[in-house]
Amino acid sequence: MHELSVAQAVVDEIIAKLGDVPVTKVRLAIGRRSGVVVDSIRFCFDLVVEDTSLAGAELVVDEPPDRDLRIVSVEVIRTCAPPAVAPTTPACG
Amino acid sequence: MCATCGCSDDAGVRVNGHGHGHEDRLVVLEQKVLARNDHLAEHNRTWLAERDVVAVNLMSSPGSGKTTLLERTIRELGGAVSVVEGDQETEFDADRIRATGAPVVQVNTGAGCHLDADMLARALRSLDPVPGSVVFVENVGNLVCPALFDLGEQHRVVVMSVTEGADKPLKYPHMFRTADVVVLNKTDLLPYVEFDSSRFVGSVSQVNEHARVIGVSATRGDGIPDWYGWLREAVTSTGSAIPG
Repeated sequence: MHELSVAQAVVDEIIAKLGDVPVTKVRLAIGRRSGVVVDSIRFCFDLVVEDTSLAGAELVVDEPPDRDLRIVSVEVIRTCAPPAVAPTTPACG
Repeated sequence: MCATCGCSDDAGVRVNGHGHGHEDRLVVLEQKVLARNDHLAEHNRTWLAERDVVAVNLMSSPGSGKTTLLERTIRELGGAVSVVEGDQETEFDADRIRATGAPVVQVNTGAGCHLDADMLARALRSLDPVPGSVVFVENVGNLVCPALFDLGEQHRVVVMSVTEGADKPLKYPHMFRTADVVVLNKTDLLPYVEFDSSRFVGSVSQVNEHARVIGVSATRGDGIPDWYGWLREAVTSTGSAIPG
């Protein structure tokens, strides 16, 4: 079930971008030809967010007719200092 | 830019319902889910290219004959070949490859159903393949999950056996869509099973018009020269790793 890896990747990418800012909602685009099963993602998402800043976050999934597999947006509980958005490319080395 | 808290519309961040209640806001990420894996895969690709090493990712259901095909290939072609074995548990396949004399690293994924780019990166550093050689990566036996994960390999091979049924390319299109070549194994069993070869070839081309289909019997040797022919073409960039 690669959906577990995919769900974990979603959490890792968001935490890498935003740090430990509490997340209330995650919107994903999972294309109908992406090879990823939405129901499985929902199941795995609830497992992998436990004990992270995404715990309890609502998961919203758009299903375009293509092979898209993307984090569209997240909603965070803000404090006055906004989280710095890291560069798109993960750090090398 | 908000003078109070410094939040902004910059850098892909869009502020939602911003009345300075500072409760929640929308952060637009537009980020590929597998961005990290894809990034590491690019590192692998560069690492391999710098050493003039070609990596071939073999994917299939469990039991289709990947290891048998590799054993025969290593024994008959020799040359500078090494193997990364992926399985959930055991060193069984690594032991079989080791018996051929080829260097091998076994990756046990535990609960994992596929190799990813990070696993291959660590395996390659441990394997340390010689320049100009070929690395076969035998993925975890699974016709679904490995399709999604780029490892940084130069070629993707799907192995399928005639006992699995001719309809599999249409039932598991993601896997067959990513293949450069499809090896149809166990053709020596064709007299004993109901397998429509022309339907199979048609199914492959329906999901992937570029994939070549090569029928072989890894145990008996039928069709194996065609597999070696494809392999030689695939690794020409590395020089003489596969003897001509």
